[in-house]
Amino acid sequence: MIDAFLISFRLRIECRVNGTLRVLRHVPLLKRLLPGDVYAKSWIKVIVMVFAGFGELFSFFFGKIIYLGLMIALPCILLTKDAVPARPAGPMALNIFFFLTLIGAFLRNTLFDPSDEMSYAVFLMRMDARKYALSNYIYFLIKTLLGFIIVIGLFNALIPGLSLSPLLVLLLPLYNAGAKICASAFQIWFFRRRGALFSGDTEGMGKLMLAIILLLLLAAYVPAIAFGRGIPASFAAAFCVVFVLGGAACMVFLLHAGDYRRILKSVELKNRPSGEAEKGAVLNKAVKEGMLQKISEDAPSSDAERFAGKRGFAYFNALFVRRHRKLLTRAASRLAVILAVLMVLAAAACRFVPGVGAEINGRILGFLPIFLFVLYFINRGETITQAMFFNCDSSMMNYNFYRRPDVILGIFTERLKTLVKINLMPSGAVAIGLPLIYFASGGTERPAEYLIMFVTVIAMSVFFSVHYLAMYYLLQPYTEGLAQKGVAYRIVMTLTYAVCYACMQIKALRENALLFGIIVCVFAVVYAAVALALTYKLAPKTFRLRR
Amino acid sequence: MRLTAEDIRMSFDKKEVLKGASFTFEQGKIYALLGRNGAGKTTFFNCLNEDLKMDSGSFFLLDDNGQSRSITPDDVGYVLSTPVVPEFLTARELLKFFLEINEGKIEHPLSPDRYLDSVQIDPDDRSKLLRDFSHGMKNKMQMLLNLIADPLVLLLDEPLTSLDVVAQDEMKTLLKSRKAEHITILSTHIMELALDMCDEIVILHNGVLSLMDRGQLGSEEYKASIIAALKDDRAAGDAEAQHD
Repeated sequence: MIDAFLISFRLRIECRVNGTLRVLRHVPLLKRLLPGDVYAKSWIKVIVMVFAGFGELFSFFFGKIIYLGLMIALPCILLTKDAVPARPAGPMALNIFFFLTLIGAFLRNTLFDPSDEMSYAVFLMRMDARKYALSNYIYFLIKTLLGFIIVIGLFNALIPGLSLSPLLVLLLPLYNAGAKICASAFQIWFFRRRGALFSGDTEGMGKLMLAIILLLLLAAYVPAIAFGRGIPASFAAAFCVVFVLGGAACMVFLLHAGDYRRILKSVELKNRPSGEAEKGAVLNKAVKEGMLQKISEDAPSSDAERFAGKRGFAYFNALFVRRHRKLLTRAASRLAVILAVLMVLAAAACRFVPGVGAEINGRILGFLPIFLFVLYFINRGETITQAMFFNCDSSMMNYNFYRRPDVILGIFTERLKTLVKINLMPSGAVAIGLPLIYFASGGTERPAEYLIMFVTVIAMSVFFSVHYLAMYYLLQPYTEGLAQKGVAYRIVMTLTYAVCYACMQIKALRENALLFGIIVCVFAVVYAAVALALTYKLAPKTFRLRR
Repeated sequence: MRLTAEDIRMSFDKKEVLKGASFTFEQGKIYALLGRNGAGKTTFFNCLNEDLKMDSGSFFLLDDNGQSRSITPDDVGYVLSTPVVPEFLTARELLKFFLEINEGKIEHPLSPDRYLDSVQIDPDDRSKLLRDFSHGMKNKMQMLLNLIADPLVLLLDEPLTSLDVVAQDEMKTLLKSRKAEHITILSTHIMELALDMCDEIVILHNGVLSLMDRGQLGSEEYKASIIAALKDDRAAGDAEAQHD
């Protein structure tokens, strides 16, 4: 078992080191420094390996600090600060940790995690699946235990109101590990009955799982928020002990279960997108999202009439949209409905709930920069261009006729129309909703303000559509199979995020929202003109497969 | 028409794959490109198809009057060994789109179904998504588009390997029947296919191209000489020395 662990651990580090080197070699400047035979140069590898080792050590604590800090410590501090009468943070934190751990037992449990290393070790190199899975799982549990003991101890010492007893500081990590082990045993039991693991993807389980998670989340936070308390410590401790004992029993079960290879195989197959199965490439999540839910099922023959009037590029693009409607239009239209409902509710609140209208009326213009950030998140540009690449262009670009400038640009034009339309669905709801709320909250004497609000949101939406599509055509960041995005593309997208975030943060913009609106509109027009001109000029050269 | 590759050089990092490969391919002939694994056959095709930017060298076309012109994407068709087709379309839809955007470029276009008849795609399969096509059927579709586009230079990477024996035979006949107007280059590892189908055998060894002259050799002797040439590092080394 220890041998199996050491081999797979070395494999993991090796994968990580080579993966890091591969990425580094894609960075323009570093490429010159790192020669092609870098993978064979032991001194470079040792350096990277030391970093990987630090990373592994770091992973003991880092995630837990973030998790406990954001999910537990921060809410507890906010809820107890200035509370009258004073509330102790300890019981709240205990309550939240207790219920979140139950969620984590399913969501953050690595026994059957699909990973490249797993498929290399178990299926390519034919390691014993049970030894591989269990030894790595035990390592994960040890990491969890040690990490939580230290991080919980640290938080306990640093946050004055927490004051957990030393016994609890030891018991909580044990409980966390015990709950994970129980969940794993449940998974094996479930797999034996249903032939699949209990997860959101398993047929019929998605809604149940979501409901359970929601309930547990409510149980974690509602007592703290509403009453400033949690389940009594002695009660929680008793439950923890039950889970620790249960975990020990389940561990015995895990050690003797023999289903590992079968389960890992099913997990591995599921992790492979259908078309890629032959290539044997296990794609990572980003790519899978790009190939998102593939092609909508229905008899294509029934589409013949629907597209009878269309020809050429429009025909091609219409078919693409139709066959990917789950991914393209359905998500956007659902979002549009949700946003519309929210907007109407907000408007109603402004109109009928005393005090709200006046409060909102003074501030709503200042929300405009925040909506740039909101639109950044709801725009579907990146997902849609990924789908365009993985489901269409990566194959079509192998045909020379598809690379003719007139074809590239003809399809680009059709796609631009589509993307603008799709993004306009949710942003249209916002564009109409905002002035509506403004009006309901008491309105303004300058009607132009309504118009500027509306136009600004529309301009933002069009900007994002043009931006993502133009960047896709100009930088073509994707490679077949691998999820490595082009460095230039990544830089542009990070900058986009930074700018949107900054706009939200800058106070001056919020105070001069009308000016902001006008700037956005002008910028969107200029940007669209420049980006389109560049695309029409350069795309025939830049829109290529990266080999 | 003749296609000339002149002093093609291409390296990945420090490894030189093509070291000044030069050759002239003639219209009306089928060439087999033989080479050992990793010799650079696909790289050569990728350079010719402008998928890769080569370090130096050029490809150009020479007509019978000796006028040369550079090669354009429309001149080349590249049939990959693993067929790639857009999975969200049906066979009919792909052909309809293809025919519409190539209007005016194709002489005497037929209806999509007539083309599908010609490669024996079953009428029931024509309105199925290409995703659900078998490997061999995808291969047929890929070949069909390239045949309709009718480029002067046809590159085939390991053709026929995934087709059933009947389809293989049909494809061979088809390629032979079209060879007069085209320059056909196929890369393969199957010696029998190369000998059976091709007029000339070109080997890519140590980064350079050379013609295997058959002369008066019998079939077995010819095969032996090809294998010997591919094994022999010294001979190719000499060829390289000449180039340098």
